[in-house]
Amino acid sequence: MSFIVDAQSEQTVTVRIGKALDFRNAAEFKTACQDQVRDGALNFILDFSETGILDSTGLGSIFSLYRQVSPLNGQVVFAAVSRPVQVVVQLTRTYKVFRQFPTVDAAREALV
Amino acid sequence: MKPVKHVFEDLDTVIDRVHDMFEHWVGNGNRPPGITDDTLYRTKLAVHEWLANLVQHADFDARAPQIAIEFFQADDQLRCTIDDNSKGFDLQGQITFRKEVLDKLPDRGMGLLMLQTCTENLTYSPVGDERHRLAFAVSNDENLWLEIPFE
Repeated sequence: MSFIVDAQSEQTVTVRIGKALDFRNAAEFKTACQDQVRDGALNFILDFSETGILDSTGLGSIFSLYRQVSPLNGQVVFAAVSRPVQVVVQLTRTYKVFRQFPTVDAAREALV
Repeated sequence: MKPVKHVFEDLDTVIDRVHDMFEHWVGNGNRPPGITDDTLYRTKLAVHEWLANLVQHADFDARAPQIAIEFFQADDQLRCTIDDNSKGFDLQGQITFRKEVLDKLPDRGMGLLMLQTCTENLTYSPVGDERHRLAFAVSNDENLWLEIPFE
């Protein structure tokens, strides 16, 4: 499964996570995001509206992206967070690192 | 809730099939009475992390893999056992090690810690006949967290 990436501006993109971000597709997610960073993206909106599982490896791949863009003043934010993903966010307290928005549009307004 | 047991022999499909089981519970109004959706999601995450560990790291020693998952309810707890025919490993030792070496904003090494955080009474031990059993309970406790170093 490939990730769908929508560009909002030169520096801001939305990544639709789809059903899962886990050990089976985390490497693909990393590659897709690295391609975007190479093309100039700094701000990433992760759309979790359809996501049924975010596992430890998936979360690790998001940490990796954050480590890559935060020194460049980039941001990684979560949007339309599904309940299963919210459970992981609460469990890991990653709301301290990643801002959350109720919708992708709200995230775009804040970042673009 | 009546006990539910499933046996899987295909490591390529076991995770998707288990996800389907949880969708059946949450999505179709089949949630066990007294068990919250969040408890089901934590159980799903715990089972997923364990299966991910088996799929990626277990040594089945040339045997055809077999994984048997059983769920049953005890009051407001969902209890789960997962039997496998791998050679097993020292789960508590690995959890202790992972806690000690966890990096800041880590890429890897959080799976068993997430499993432990989601669960109570977590054990993994031999049960004879060259099998091992993971056993745990998940309750409606919302105040659980895994300490990940962010800075």
